[in-house]
Amino acid sequence: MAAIRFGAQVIAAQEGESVLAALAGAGMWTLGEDARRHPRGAWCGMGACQACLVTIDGVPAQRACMAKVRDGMAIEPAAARIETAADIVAAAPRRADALPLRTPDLLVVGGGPAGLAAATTARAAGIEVLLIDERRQPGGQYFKQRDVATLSPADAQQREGAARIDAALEAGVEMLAGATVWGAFPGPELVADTPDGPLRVRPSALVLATGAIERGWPVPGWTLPGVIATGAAQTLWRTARRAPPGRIVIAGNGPLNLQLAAELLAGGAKVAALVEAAPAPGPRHARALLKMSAAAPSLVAQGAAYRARLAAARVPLVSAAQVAAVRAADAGLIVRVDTGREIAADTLCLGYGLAPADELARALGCAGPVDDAMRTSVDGIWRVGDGVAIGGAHVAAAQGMIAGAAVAARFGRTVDCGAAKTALARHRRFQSALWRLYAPALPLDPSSDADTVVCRCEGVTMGRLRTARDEGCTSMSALKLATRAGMGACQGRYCATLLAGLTDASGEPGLAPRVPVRPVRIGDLAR
Amino acid sequence: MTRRADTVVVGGGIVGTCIAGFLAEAGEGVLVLDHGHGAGTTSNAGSLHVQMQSRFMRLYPEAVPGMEAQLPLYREAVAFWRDLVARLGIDVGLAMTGGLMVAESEEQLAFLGAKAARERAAGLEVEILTRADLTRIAPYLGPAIVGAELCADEGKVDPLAANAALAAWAAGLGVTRDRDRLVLGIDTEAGGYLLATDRGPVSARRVVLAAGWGTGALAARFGLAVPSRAEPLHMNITEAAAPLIGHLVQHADRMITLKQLASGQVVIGGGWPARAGEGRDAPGVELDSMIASATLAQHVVPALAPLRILRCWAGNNTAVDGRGVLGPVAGHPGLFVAVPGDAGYTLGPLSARLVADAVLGRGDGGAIAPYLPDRFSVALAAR
Repeated sequence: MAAIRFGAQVIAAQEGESVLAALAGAGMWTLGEDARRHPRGAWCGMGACQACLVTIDGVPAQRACMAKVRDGMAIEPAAARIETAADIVAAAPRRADALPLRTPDLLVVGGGPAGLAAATTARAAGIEVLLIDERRQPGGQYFKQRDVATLSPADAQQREGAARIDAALEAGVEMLAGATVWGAFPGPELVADTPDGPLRVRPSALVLATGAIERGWPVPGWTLPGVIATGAAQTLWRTARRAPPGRIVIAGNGPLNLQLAAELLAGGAKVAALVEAAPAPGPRHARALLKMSAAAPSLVAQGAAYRARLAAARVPLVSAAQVAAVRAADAGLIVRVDTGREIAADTLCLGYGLAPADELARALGCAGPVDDAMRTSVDGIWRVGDGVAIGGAHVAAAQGMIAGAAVAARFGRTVDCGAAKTALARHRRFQSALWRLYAPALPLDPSSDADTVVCRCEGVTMGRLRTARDEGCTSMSALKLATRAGMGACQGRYCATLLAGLTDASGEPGLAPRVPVRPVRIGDLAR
Repeated sequence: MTRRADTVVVGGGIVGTCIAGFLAEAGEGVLVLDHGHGAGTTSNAGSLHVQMQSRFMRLYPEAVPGMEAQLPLYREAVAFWRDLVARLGIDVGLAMTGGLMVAESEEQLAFLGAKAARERAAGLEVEILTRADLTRIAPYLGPAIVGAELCADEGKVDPLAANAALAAWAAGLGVTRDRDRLVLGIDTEAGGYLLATDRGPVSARRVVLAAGWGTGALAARFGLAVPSRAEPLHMNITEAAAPLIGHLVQHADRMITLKQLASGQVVIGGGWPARAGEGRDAPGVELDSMIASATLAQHVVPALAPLRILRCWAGNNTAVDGRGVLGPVAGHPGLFVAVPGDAGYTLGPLSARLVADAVLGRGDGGAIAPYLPDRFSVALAAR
């Protein structure tokens, strides 16, 4: 055990878990103030959104979801404006060529199912592979490993992930974990912030397996502390066996919400309701279920077991409903569903789908994949997994294997990936049937009002954006310049899709990708 | 279908927006055509420069006489910014903090001393500060800095806030703005000009070319060889910090500019190159420029170390010959050029005023005489 301090309070924590896990376990969701001076809490739980910034041992702007607990840590809410110390040593100016440079045959960015498969396949064919992953342990979101060794045993999904990580290491893949690739330049040349300082990588071949982020759900109140992404709650549970105390409402669209509810229940947490945008399964879903059973019977059985667990615990299932608003109550939150029903909660998890994390690919000008081997329009660069289009872990792993084989072929090695192609087709059939099952009763549509915050980082509301649009800002870049939406620390990841919905530029590929794709500390560049 | 306007301003950056507003204040009907991507609107960083920038002096020594000739204009331009902001009552983070050009050696201080003497001769108020002075007024500077030149007339403005506020002011006066229309070429027609654009033709009685580095290509058709060129530059901006850096900071010998905006964010630039954009694309950022400018910034201001860079971007500075190109095009009634030359954001509003007055036929034209486009007239040069 470890003890950390948050402001004046001492909190019991587990050595190795994230700071966010420790705080959430204590039910402490308010981490500071946002741009509008309203209470601010975590959202994505995976290092992308920057909503959980805190000061740790005097170092400002650290992500609570990525920082690891050490005994005696002193954590303070992040100030809206960072105070810097006066006694910092000046840097020696340097140029980029002073940064260490690696030139592996293959660089894989992302250690989830897709990246692990690509790396292992290519390495097994004799190719030198460096894999960089932002998390302290590879596995990605799906195969997320436990951060705390003394926890209850790993579940089947974690054991499968551990086996894949071991296989990659045994094959000889070099893994650089806890390192964030924040820049991509023509060449390709990538640059990462690693535990040992900045690192440049100029690989002969590059596989981008950067995964996905959760979409925002900008309804009134979605920025209140205690409203988090479903994936964030799952990360807290899977890495640290932390469930927030009190009533948990899980809402969204898709199987991840059901899985989270079942896992939290099994862990003894109180799930107050599951709100699903799709209608309850009925006879008209029989065809889809049959197809899913044919493609992946174990996954169907797993889903049935999750439902049985919810039924046994008498968790209210609100089907064909979407969260319309959240408000703070005397104790906790009141969740209003579009059917008019209100549910009391202490934590609300929102899982309304995923969006590819494609900023590195866009920074490199990669279009595609342009063929079945997952090649992009740029020679020597592949893209695989949810970073391309959302298809889930099994599709991602199959794509990774296929790309790994294609990389091997580039170096004159032959790898048979016929099994991966078969698996890919099978899991695509499963996915397509799954999403017929989960087709929302009504199109997903957060009911943003004029005061709803769209850009969390800069505190830009829907009303402000609509006014700017009506004043002639009809492109995403014009909206961004006029309102500052998308200019904050998350780089527009969570508001870009919402801005796109406000503009007439349907062909626009999103906000222009900007380096760094994750904020980078000046002191780390000088290190 | 041909769109019609009385006056068309090509370019919706600081210059084009201000000209449009000034013309509209005089009751003119104005249409602004802005490309929207990689255009002047993306390039500025909000420094209000007055003293000669050492970077330009090193890079373009042949242009130093032009810069010196224009020095009094810089001071007037900053005063004009202040008056404009006060008159319109807009909050754009304008702060007259003074600007420091720092030195790390006696040699650099001597360079600043000589520069200051020339600037004083041109009427600027500048002084050379010792390390002791700096410790008092700029304690954020690192130990390597041994002295600096202070120019009290320098400052900064939040460019996004200023662009938005000025565009809103112009719109309120009835100025129309097409934000995503690229002008491909201009020709004469009976009673005015016909502009070919990527969204159909536009016809106008008068045309003002305020297209920054793109002006040369549009003006060539009218016998003007304006050597306007794009200088793609890399910029960085940090997250918000508590008040740290008061002045606009530059270096006597190294490529660095620093300033803290009203938002608390620190903008780091200094002329580091960006990758030129292909075709209509905006320029791209460079890793070397980012590392070099960020580490140099932390060398000059050590307390920057804990701040994170949120975003880099690249914009095109417009370089000409060190002097503005402002006023009517001889032999082509109703056609005007409005390119301020270096430090276009500082000079933008005042340059716009001078050109707007020329369009309206106001004043005796004396103020604009040194900047007339005629010096680039191909016909005159041939004579």
